[in-house]
Amino acid sequence: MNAAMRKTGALLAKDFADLFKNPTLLVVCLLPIAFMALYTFMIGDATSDAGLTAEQQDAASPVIRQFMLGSSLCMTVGMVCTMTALYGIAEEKEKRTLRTLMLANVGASQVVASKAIVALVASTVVNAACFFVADGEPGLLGAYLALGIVGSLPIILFSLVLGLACRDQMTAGVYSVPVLLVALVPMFGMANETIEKVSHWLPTGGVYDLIGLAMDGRLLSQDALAPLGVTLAWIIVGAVVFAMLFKRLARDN
Amino acid sequence: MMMSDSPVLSMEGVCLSFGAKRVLEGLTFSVARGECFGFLGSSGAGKTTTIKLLTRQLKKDAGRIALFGRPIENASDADYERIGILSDTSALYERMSIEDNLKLYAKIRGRGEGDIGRLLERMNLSDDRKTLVKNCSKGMRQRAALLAALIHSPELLFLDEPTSGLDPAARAEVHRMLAELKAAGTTVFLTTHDMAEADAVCDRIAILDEGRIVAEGVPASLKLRFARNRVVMATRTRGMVTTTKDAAAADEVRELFASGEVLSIHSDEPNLEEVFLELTGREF
Repeated sequence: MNAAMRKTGALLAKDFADLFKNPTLLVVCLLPIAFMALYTFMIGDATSDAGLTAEQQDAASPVIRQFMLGSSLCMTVGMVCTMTALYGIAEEKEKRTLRTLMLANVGASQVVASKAIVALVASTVVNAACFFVADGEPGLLGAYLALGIVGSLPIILFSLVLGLACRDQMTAGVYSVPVLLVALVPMFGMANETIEKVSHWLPTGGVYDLIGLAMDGRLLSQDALAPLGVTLAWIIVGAVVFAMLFKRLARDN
Repeated sequence: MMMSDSPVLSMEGVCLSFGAKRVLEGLTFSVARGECFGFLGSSGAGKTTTIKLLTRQLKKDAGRIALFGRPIENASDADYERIGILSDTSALYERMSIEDNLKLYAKIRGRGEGDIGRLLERMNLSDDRKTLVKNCSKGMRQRAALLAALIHSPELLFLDEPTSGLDPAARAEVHRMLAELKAAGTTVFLTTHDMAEADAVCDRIAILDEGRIVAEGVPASLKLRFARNRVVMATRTRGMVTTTKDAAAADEVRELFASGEVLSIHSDEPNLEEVFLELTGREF
């Protein structure tokens, strides 16, 4: 095992353990699950209160399911990835642990890799929990988690760049808001036609649409090409921005 | 103390500016293997900036810096693995215990955890090994951070104000550890504004003032260089008698000794603090 792998491994173990010790991160990981439980309860109540017939309920069910699963994915990606990556780096800067690591010959790439992996794993675990809380069909779990991972990538890349640009957690709070909002927009597509049109082109819009297609059994159809293209385009944009700014930002305050 | 001729680190004519402000001006010095070299100066003199240049945190504008005999531009990661650094802002993870922090740095440095117990013992932190860093006093944090810098037994150790803010007991522990490191052949580059500390632990010092080295040498020699031309005697009946060291005063001294008046006699050497004031004309 070379030195870079060893150092990244040591940081990974530390960052994973910190997920359970850091109350902020713990709450952020539990929040999407709690929201899903709340939505399940509220929507279940609303459909019975509306006096829908069984046929009407069956017709509404796929739409509601897509909203539930899509929303849980947007929330998880938006909250967990942003907090773990962006706040994680900002906290290391503010508390000067990043400087201490760098003085111990740890590279910025190793710190960033660790944060990215933890964000990806944490969001996948939270996505899985949300899936079951939202009563997703077990057969869809694999596709759902895969889409969650793909959808997380651009958000993680942007969060890492912003995390490196932050001086402290206060700045991180400001920088995380637009990322979080952009990630959450597809959730509100049902409420407004303009939002719905715009949301298709946003970083999580592609995977939101792909979840709907997966539920219809059309994930491998031609209809998936556009949302898949949007998602891949955002991953490429995120990767390019990250590559362009990493060297400039990969230093301590 | 083991020393060899080839310096572990050296600077030659190094200059650095921040914008229009020149912060380091023609720094030239070298540190031999196994030596404890003190870099002294008041706040803002350029001590930390010099450490940052030597540890790749900053780039010089002009001059030459060599690390382990190689230009710093050619120093490899492997060279930096031979270095330990305790900066004035070094910090450990607050939600982890002292021991877990040391285990993390042991893993990062590719070392086993076997030495951690011994290191904690040496710094009198064994009983607090499970204490979370957020619950530690400043002295405990500083000593733990020093252990993290030592976890891989570095050949060269940079210490930036290692005892700043520590109580006398904690300071004594750090000094004891420095003595052990010196005895083991570790080269130490120490910045401090505590002249007594430098006098106690350093083999050689350089005094920095406004980015320039204004004096360099063995502490005792520097003190002798600035020794005043006077001798102070405590006498039985005449109290403290001060006289010069030259031939003109010889008769007076001889007479006092002959009459049995002299209780004690001291040359009036300055301490390092006085040397510093003499050189720079400033207070700390």
